[in-house]
Amino acid sequence: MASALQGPFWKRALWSQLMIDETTAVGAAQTELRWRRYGYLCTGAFVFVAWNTSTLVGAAVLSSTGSLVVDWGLDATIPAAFLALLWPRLRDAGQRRTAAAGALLAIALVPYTPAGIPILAAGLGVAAGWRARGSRPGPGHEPGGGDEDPTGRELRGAPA
Amino acid sequence: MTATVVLIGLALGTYGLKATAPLLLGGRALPETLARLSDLLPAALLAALVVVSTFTREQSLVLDARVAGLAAAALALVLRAPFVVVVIAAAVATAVARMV
Repeated sequence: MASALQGPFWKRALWSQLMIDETTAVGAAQTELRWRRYGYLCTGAFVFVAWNTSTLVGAAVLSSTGSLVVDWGLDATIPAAFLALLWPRLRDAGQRRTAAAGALLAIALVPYTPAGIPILAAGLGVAAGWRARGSRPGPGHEPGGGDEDPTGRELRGAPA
Repeated sequence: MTATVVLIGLALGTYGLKATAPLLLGGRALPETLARLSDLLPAALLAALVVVSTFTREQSLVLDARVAGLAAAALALVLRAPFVVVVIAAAVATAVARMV
């Protein structure tokens, strides 16, 4: 995202506070630099308002109903949301291998390490997919990878 | 007091993570290795989050109604359902699995 967030130091410092998953996702999905910035900033503003509003509503309305999360199956929304985010990446062989290695690493470490460590260690799964791109395209895959690069590599290093 | 120090430390650390690229990189391209890393890392972390939030409770491995939720989510994704539908399907499937 850095290439789309150009300007004076104080502006970049201020905008950086909005660097969250949602803003990066919307911003990176745009093709033109100015739309990348627009998407990033608008999403940031929207999430800020929606996040705090729903926190207030949740605290005010739902804090007394303790079993709501379990009864309504809300705990299952967490893996479902992560799976939905992961899904589009799985078209690429390198991403698939990375995901499988990360999942195995994490699940293997859960019984032996404190919370959080399995997720961090899963990052090492990157090694499993590192060499996959281009060298061994999966079935039905165009060489060179098609549209799996959400960060828009061609935009990196674009003139200011 | 300790909580305040931890809070401020975490706030600074988080901001540092967010601001590093825009402040240091400016408009320059990310080095190839870092670009490849930032391309692959989300897959590893997301997959880990999926399995850990489905199959574990505290530090033990468990199989419970959340598995039904994850299966429903996967089915919805195969059917190309939008994000909101995927999440709701998981919640409904888990709630139903707990009722029976």
